[in-house]
Amino acid sequence: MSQQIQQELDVDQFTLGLVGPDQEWAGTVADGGTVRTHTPAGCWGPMITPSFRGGHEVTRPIRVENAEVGDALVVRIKDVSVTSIATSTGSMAERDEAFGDDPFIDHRCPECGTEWPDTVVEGTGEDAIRCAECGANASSFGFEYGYTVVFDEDRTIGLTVGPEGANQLAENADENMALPENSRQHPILLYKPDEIPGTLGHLAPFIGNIGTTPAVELPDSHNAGDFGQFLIGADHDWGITDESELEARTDGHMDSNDVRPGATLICPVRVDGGGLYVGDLHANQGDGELSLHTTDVSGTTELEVEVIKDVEMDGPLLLPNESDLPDIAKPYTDDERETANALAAQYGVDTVSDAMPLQIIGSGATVNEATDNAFDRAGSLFDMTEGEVRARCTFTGGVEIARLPGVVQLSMLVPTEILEDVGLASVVREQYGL
Amino acid sequence: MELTVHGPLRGVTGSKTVSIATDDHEESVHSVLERFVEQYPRANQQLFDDDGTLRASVRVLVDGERADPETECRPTAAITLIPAAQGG
Repeated sequence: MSQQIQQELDVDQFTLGLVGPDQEWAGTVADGGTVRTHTPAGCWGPMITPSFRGGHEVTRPIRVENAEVGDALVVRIKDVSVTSIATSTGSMAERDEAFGDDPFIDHRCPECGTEWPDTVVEGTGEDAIRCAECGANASSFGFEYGYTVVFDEDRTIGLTVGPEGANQLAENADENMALPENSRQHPILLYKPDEIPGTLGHLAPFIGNIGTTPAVELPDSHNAGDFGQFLIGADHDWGITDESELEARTDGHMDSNDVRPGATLICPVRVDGGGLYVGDLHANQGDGELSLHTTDVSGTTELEVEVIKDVEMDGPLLLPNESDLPDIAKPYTDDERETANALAAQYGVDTVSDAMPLQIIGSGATVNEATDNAFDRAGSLFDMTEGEVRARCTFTGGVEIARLPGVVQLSMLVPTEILEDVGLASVVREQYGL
Repeated sequence: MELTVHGPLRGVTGSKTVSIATDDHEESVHSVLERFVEQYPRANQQLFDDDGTLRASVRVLVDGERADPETECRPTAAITLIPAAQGG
């Protein structure tokens, strides 16, 4: 079934919080085909559901025709739509005894010790998730400071509610969260937090976790240079001994609010077939995701995929909407080129290099280390010294925070002849109509 | 004593490896962490809760081996410190 190549592939199966080469395929989409997904909410639902091995509930990996290790997978984001009616979020508090080393990964019932216990819902509130074996509260998370948001019918705004509204939404939590049929998480609306009621927010949905399957198995939430740090020294099955092992990551969990309709991602292929996966949609979020969590929602995506052969990439690239680029990283106008040619003639410059925008994703323990990682990735991809990368990014780009503590987008106007050499010029031209 | 720190703790220390002053006798992991926080007060929230209890997901390795707060460390021990898990 999964080997049948489909021009349009609908995906409705999800993992239990893991990404990696051993996950069952969702199906195979044609090179140039379209993927449609309806994913359950990310962080909070899986976090409070002890059967999960990671902090998200992403799709099974999608095989893409022609994708082989060493290629690049282009993912054009055509649509992202929120299906949840409401959600709850905020900052987290871990619950002692409900996990081994990592509250996102190695869950265990604090009473009977069952690992990754099956659970049932009894009532609402932070003690509603009960071990099916012994009845104890088995969730590894509560809220340190939480709030519940309800959306308008068109999903243009969100309004935080007080205790009455939060209680009302918790009573039909599954339905209000719009969890897809095959989802296995408990809805976070059950917790019914009610801080900052009456706060109105603008919605701007995007995809928090999207990328290609890494060559090693990782908890989906930890597939990033910052979150992956918590795997170091852990005794569970996904623990690593040294952070150099994080080079196997594909940085799918980037939480960039620019990964929205109209943007294009270019992802490194680390397993044959690519293994595109999608999840952790957010209804909105400011740069940095300052609570470390935001409005996790169920939602649909429509993605067009294309394989570019033989592109040596160490991490993902992003071509955001032009309006999301820093001003000085936007494509040149004809007037600017004409003015530059006049200056070139006056000052003896032989050629004005044409260039096009591109963002390199970097991740690491801190923003500084993430930026260093982006410098390294840019230098490797474009065969530039760090000095040249820094110079070009200073003069024609910049660095933006996707997520704290350590995911960044490094913008640069990259000389077109370099993009031609590495095989990326056509996808950038198409993105910006150049 | 040399400490290797991981995760967002490096935003506090500014480097991956830091040194803290030690006496010439063994001391517990908990004591080492307290003195680390004295040296880097902004690390407190990543290691201890409001009651001063070590957060459950904080991990400490002494010479590469998992250690409890009560584990005794030699003055020359190499300490690896992973703060409480955070993120979403």
